Formats: sequence, structure tokens, C-alpha cells
Amino acid sequence: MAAVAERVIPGRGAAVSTWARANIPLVLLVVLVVVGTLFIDEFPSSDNFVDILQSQSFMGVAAVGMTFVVIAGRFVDLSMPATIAVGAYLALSVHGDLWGTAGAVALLAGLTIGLFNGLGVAVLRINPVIATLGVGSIASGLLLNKTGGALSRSHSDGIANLVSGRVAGVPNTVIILLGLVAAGQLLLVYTRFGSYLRLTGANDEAAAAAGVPTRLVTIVAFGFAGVAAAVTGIMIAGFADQADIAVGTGFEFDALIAVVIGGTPLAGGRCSFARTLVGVAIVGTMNNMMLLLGLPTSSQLLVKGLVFIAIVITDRLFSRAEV
Amino acid sequence: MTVPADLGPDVAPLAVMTAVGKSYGPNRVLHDVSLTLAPRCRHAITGENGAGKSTLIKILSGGVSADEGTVFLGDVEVKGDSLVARAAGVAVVHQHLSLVPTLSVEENVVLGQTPTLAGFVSRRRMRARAREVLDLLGLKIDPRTIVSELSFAERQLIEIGKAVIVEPKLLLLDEPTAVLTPAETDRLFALLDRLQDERGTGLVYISHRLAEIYRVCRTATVLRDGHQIADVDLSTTGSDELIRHMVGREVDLLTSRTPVAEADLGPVVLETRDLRGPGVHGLSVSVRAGEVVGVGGLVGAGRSEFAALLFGMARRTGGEIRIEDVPRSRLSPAAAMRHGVALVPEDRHRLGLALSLSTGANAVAPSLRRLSPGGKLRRGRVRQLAAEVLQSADVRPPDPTATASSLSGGNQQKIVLGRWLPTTPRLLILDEPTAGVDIEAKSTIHRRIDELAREGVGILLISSDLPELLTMADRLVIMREGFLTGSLERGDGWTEEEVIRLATRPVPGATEAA
Repeated sequence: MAAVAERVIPGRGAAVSTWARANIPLVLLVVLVVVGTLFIDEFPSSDNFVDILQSQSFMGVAAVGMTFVVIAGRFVDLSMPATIAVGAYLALSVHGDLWGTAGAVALLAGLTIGLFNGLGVAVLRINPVIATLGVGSIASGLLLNKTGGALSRSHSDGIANLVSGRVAGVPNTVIILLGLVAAGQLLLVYTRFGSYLRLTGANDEAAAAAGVPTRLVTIVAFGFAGVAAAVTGIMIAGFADQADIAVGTGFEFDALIAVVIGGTPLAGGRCSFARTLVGVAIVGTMNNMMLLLGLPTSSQLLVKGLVFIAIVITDRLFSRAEV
Repeated sequence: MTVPADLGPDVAPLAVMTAVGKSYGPNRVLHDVSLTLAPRCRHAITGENGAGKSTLIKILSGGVSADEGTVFLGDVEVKGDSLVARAAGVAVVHQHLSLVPTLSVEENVVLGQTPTLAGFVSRRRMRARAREVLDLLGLKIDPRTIVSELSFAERQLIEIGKAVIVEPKLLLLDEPTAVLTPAETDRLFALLDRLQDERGTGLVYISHRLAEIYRVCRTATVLRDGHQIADVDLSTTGSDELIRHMVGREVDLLTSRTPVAEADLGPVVLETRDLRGPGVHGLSVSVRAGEVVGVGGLVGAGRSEFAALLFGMARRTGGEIRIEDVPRSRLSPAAAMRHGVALVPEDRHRLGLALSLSTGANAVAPSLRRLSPGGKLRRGRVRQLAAEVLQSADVRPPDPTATASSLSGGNQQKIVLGRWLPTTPRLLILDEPTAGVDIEAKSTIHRRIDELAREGVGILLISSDLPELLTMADRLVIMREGFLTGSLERGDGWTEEEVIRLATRPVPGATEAA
């Protein structure tokens, strides 16, 4: 009996440790929540958890879009701040009851920006950093030209109602985020496009040699990212009832950080939208805890940067060991 | 575990490895390996791909550190510090080229020890050093040439020269002849002989090419799955025995193949007429169903470029490609696949596999369209097909969830070939299908080629392995610098010498000395 037990326990331990290694971000999230619950009185309440999710849902939607780009092996979409601003402005631009149309136009604009990114990267073979920076700059320029940089205010309650509403106590923005994560995950796991996306990201030349239309896949991935950024813009517009040209500033980095903290490697391979959701939750929980502890912004940035780098290094150490 | 070396009792060994072990994560790649290298040694380290040869060399040269055991060079212990190893007189020629392609030959030769004068780079001394290397190798190249403009063979030779020029006491060579022509290989061996005669350099030679091992070395250590299987004296050990040590049992390598009788061949599946494109200058080649047409030539003869054109990976600039008698003017890999063409590319890592994904994901990649009617993936069928491909290609282990990068080169190659079979190609283009794979995988792949030809698949076999071409092909076409320089039928002149003669024949319009 003793011998059997001895053999079983290390086996189970090893399995747990393998699982933990593969899911470092999730483990970190659990640790954060436990620590918060134990040491911060205001932390463990359902209201606070909902707050965390709601405050991060705007960035989270952009992160879902960013995940498509990262899985496709194209690193980053730096045009997101511009796309968010364009989306927000267009959503606010309509008077009266045409807010549905305004939303559709905003989404279409996001899609267009994304397709231009995709064309630049896939067809013109421009480095994604350069291509998306360029396209974003053009989009910002056009928007500035059109609006003169003026603050845009809402003329209609439709979008505001949609964004600020709640279903069974859950904010609609959170529902939108969860819906997009689920949609992305279904697309990734259950469709041909999902398989193509992963192959393209892991090795686009080999994918092409196996008949994967890698250019099309890349263009579609950027298209999704553009649409997601536009959704973020619409959500911000509806929530704040106003938007200026800088409304999307910083979202591209926060979204990328959430994707990477979630554990989707920039080199392709392991990837999922659920991981991105975990990444978003980690960023949100960390921010929330630091806020509750009353840390000044300077310390918050410092901690965020350190955690970001630490988790990437830890992840690489463990995944290298598996090779 | 002593190496039979002419090591007198008073002579200190160059290097002693004792009970060395190494793991990468959960994978143990070396177990308890001990090695003593005498001055003036000519020692081979051999074994199949994945046996641990390269890891052993890296430990000996300080590139990686051993988890267990000790490594001494003279009386200096090397603990994973390549600078220590270098200072102790060890130089390495790595399997993967370490030259910086964007720098010139002279800059590469002195890389890491750039000669300076009062803090400034001394171009004059750098050039002198580079000339020394080039003279030693008998290469007529301007030292200012950018490395990316050189052929792979020239790069490999410079790599060797770079290692030799520091006058090492111990020179480690990891598969140095993979991209060299027979003539260049002979020149390399002459250089190694000279180094040993003139400077007493000890040589450690890694290869799984047996002929080379017997040419260069006197003693050998055989590794299998990281274990030290045997230490042998090559003057008393035959190649059969060596192979048995390497694979652990007899391998039945195909030594002759009977082509499908001409009367039984099917219609022409591929015909090119004066085909032109990047690196290809007017090729007219045809392949019939059931036929194996070999494409011979030196590295850089334009054979892979030819394959890339046929598979729609490069843009045709002239001539015609007819697949099953239909001219195909706009090919992409996806279109080529629809027309029944499959390609097993030469560069397995760049073009073959997505190494960070699972073997299963790689195995089903060309079949995804068929497995996802309406875009929805039939996950059950995907899993089933992945298992089937791995099973029938004899991939070890046949685990569809294993990461592709964890497999040996031979098993990776079995996937790259095997995954095309469910797509039932009618023309299969194989570009160096057995390069860098172990003998066992090679045997499996050769048998599979024969079976496919008998099933009526037309096969275009590009290979630099002359015995392979002569064994497997029905007939040969030979290329040089993008031109067709000849063709061979089985019968008189079906010899390696004749292939080499045609592969080095002056191309049309070229003027050069013999």
C-alpha cells in the first residue's frame, strides 16, 4: 500500500505542477484574488468584482481584437487608439433615433481601418508595427481634419442606454466583453479560420506551403482587430457621452499587455481568447487592489511594469524547459 | 569506457569528459557519457538524429553546461563557458552556420576578436587575416564580399576557416559537409589531414555519413538516445556493425528499386515547357503517373527554385506549366493543391512545420479544407485523421498532442511527407526528402516513395544524395545554375560520376575554365 501511495502522489503532484506551469496567468489571478480577499477589506465584494470587470471591459474588448493580431503572428495593432477615437466620434455623430446606424457606421469604419492594416502587412509586406502606426496616423489625421479636434458630445441616448445598462446586475459592457471572448474562442477552436489563424501565426511560410491562404487570414485578423477597437470606441462614447481625439490613447499598450500577461506568446503556438480574458482580469484586479491600497499613480505604473516583465520572463523560463 | 587511442601513459589527454548527463526540461538527452580525447586524436561521434551528438559537442565546447559529470580540457574545467573552452584551445564548426549574412567575409572571419589599433578597427590587419583564411581554403573570394552573396558551400568553408585560423588544439566539426560538393569535401579532408600533420590538431568529427567517418577518423563513439552505446576502433569495425550500434538493430535500407514498367506508366501528370522564373532558365521536364524522375545537381543549381515554381510559391516569368495536360498559368500553393500537386520542401523548419504547434495540427494542415465543410471544423474527423497520419507515417511517438519541435528531424520529416497522402496527390514533389534524417526514417521514406509510384503517383525527386537518386529514380534530369545540363536513363552511365560530370558541365552561354 505504502509503495502504491508513494507512486501515486508524486504522479499527481507532477500533473498539478505541469498544469500550473501551463497556466501561470490563471494561478497568478487566483493568488491575487486570495491575497486581496485576505488583506484588503473592501476587496472581496461582488460589487467590487463587477466594478473591476466593468472598468476593464473597454480595454478588454480592444484586447480581444489584439488577440487576433497576436495569434496571427503580427505582433501588435498600433492603430487602435485612432480606431477607437474614430469609432467614438462616429457613434456620437448622429442626432435622433439613428443611433443604430451610427453604431453600424462606426463598426464599418473600424473594419476599414483594420483591412487597410491587413493589406499593408499581408500584401505590401510592411512590418506590422510600421503599417499600423502609419494607418493609425492617417486615420487620426482624417478625424482631426473633419472635427478640428473639438470635443464631441452625445445627441442621442440610444447608445448611452445600451452601454450603461445592466442585465441581472451585470453591466452590458461586461456582457459585450464576455460575448466577444466567447465568439473569438469558438472561432478559434471550431472553425477552419481558427486553424488557419494558428498555423499562420506559428509559421506563415509553412502554412502557405500547406495551402493556407495566409494573406487573407492576416487581413481578416486585422479586420477583426479594427472592429473590436471600434466597439471599444462606441462603448466609451456611450459611457462618457462625449469623446475627444485622444480618447483611445494608451489602449493599444494596455490591450497588448493583457494579451501577453494572459500567456498568448508573441511567437504563436499556445493561444486562446480565454487567456486574454484572464490577462484582462489580472490587470483589472491589480489596478483595483492598488487603488484600494491608496498607492499613488507612480507606484501603480511601476508595479504594473514589473509584474508585466516578471510574468513574461517566468513564462518563457517554463516554456523553454518544455522544448 | 576507454577510447582506444594511442595514448601513452605520460601523454596528458586533450579533453576528458566524465559521466556527463544533460536534460532539457523533462527530456534527458545525454546519460552518463565519458570520453577521453588524446592529442592528435581523430575521433568520430556518430549516431542517428536526436542521439545527442550535437549536445555532446556543445558541452565539450562550453556552449551549454552539463547537469552531471565533469568536463576538463587539460586541467581547466569547462562549466558551460565557451570563452574558457576557447582559451583552452577548442574551436567548433557548427552545423548551423554562424556567419552574419549582412557582414563581409573579413568582418565575419575576425568576429569576436576584431583587430584594433588604438581602439579603432584595423581594416588592414582584418583583411590580412581574412586572406590567410581564404588562402588556407583555396578560395578565390574578395574578402570584402558580403556573406549573403556567397553560396552555402562557400559559407561553410569560411566557417571552417574561421575555426581553423585560431590554431586550435582541438577542432570540433559538426556535420561540416552537409552542403559541400564532393570536390569541396575532398578539399576539406585534405585540409584536416594537413592540420593534423603540421600542427598536431586533434579532430572530433560528428557525422552520420559513414564513408566520411571512415575517411577522417580512427576511433568512434556511438550514441543512441543519449546513451553511449559503443566505443570502437574503426580499423577493426565494419560499417554494418557501426549501423547496428547506431540503430540498435539491423536496418533494411532499400539498395535497389525496380521502376514501374514503361508500359504500365500512366498519362503525363506534369510537363513544363521552357519554364522560366527566379533562378530557373528554361526547363522542359515531364513526369508520368507512376514515374520517379530524379533531379540532380549541386546545392544552388536551382532545383528548389524549380520546385517553388511548380507549387506556385514563386512567380513564373515565362514558359508553361501543364498539370495533367492543362496549362496552369496562375498557380498558388492552394491552387496547386487543388490540381493534385503536393510539395515536401527542403527547408523543413522554415517551410515544412509549424514547430510550436502540435504534431496533430501539423499533420492535418493540408487537409483542413476538406475537413471543414462550410468553414466549420469537424473536430472528430480532424482528430481521427491526425491519428491516422501519424500512425501510417510511422511517427514516433504517434502522439498528436506532442509539440512538433520535440520530435527528431526524421520524425518531423515523416509528418511533412505523410500529411500529403490523405489529399491523394497525383504529382508529389520531394525536395531533399531524406536530408538530415536518420537511417531508419530514410528507409521508411524510400519505401513510401516506391509504394506511391506503384499506386500511380508521379514523383519528382530532388536530391543531393547520389546513391538515393540512383536507387530511387527511373530516370534523371541534371541541373546547373538554373539550366538543364543533361538527362540520364537507367543503363550505361547510370553512375555517380556521370551525374557529377553533368552537374558541373558548363551551362549554355557561360564561359569558364574547367
